[in-house]
Amino acid sequence: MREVGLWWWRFAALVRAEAASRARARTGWIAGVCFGVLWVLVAGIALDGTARLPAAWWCGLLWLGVLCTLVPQWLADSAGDAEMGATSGLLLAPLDRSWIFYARWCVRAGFACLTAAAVAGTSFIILNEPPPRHPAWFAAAFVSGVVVLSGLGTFLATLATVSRSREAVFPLLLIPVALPVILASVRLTVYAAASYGRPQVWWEVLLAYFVLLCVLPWLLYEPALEE
Amino acid sequence: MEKHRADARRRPRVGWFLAAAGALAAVVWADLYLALIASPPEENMGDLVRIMYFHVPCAWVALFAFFVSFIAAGMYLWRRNTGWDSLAVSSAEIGLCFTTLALITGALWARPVWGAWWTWDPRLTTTLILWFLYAGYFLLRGSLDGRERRARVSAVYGVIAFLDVPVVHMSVTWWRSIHPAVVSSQGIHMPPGMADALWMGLCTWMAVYALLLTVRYRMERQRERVERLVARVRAQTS
Repeated sequence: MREVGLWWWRFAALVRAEAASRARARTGWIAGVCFGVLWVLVAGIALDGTARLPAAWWCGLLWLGVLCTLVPQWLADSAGDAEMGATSGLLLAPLDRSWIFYARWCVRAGFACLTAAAVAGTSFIILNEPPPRHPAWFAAAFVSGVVVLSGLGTFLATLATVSRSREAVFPLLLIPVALPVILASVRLTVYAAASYGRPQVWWEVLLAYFVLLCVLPWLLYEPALEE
Repeated sequence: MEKHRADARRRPRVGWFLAAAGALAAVVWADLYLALIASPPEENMGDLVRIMYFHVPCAWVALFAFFVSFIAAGMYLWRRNTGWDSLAVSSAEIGLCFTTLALITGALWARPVWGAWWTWDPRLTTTLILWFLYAGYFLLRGSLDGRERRARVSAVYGVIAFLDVPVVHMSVTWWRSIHPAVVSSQGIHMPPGMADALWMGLCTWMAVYALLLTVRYRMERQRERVERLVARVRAQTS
């Protein structure tokens, strides 16, 4: 029992360290929020200042904006950690190395939710979208999608960080793997916004990815982190 | 003297390779005969169906090649033997070539039959995603420094990329697809003359895959030896 308590205390320390590190790098996430808002503005201009979009289009644009905003942030976070020696420091933590991933995932998902919420809020206002028909479903779908995407982004950014051309390679590694998650998130938010479609199968897709993200890093994150 | 001995050691391997390549050429000719001449035209598509004898085996061999790559990547992560990494990259490379062929032959077939080069069919879409996953695998691999790091990081990504393969296979069952399921638990859904040509095509392309894999694997091992020698010479001269 005491061992389990000690283990949780160590994991909480990892989460605290990661959160402090992300909070200190505030330029990165403030720039991310600004870029997200700008992205929505550009999308609105590109659509000729449209008054109202069909729900499926609006949700597609929303997730595209979220992805475009978060991809550079995940990469910058991982690259920053590697360059400043934070990753090497974390390797000294007396825990299985996969827990470094889980700690990073928790913290980055939190920051990603904040950034994505800014993008969603702006797109509601700028693209004149009415409030969703099922607000609770909308919030659940949105947060679940961002959490699963953050897990994938965190894991693959660790792999891409050691690449010479990480900025070019990372989106190419992430987007094909994340496509089912993006599709599921779009369909779930379309359902929440306009009661259109069948959400059950898409919840299952998100759940499957969530389970994979809980299991695979336990097997694969240690080799990914090796120096 | 040493050079002559090395040449003598190599000769049987070259002979074996030439014999295998000759036998394979004969099998390819037999396959072409079956696919283009002997097999009957289809009732609705006519002679267009003959693309299937290349398209379907290419797709199956590609999935098999990715499976081999996945197993080899897993074995590398477990045993850390560079031979497994060479096998993983060789098989993935051939798999990517076969996927490209499957996509091209599929588009050529789809245009006259479905009226479009591309449709948002689940199998087509998941196969294109698979192509991008393995294109990403090679770009990642090409941008990593250090033999051990390159092998380790690309093995991890190779395991993740393979997750799309079962999705490609099951896509016609899970989603509504206009792609016909050629083989199911009830057996093969085509007349015997066409089925024979299809099986022959599969065996032929599998043999082509085996030969290419052997050659590519040996090339990869030679490249590693050269890299090691260069590193040793540099270390001695510096």
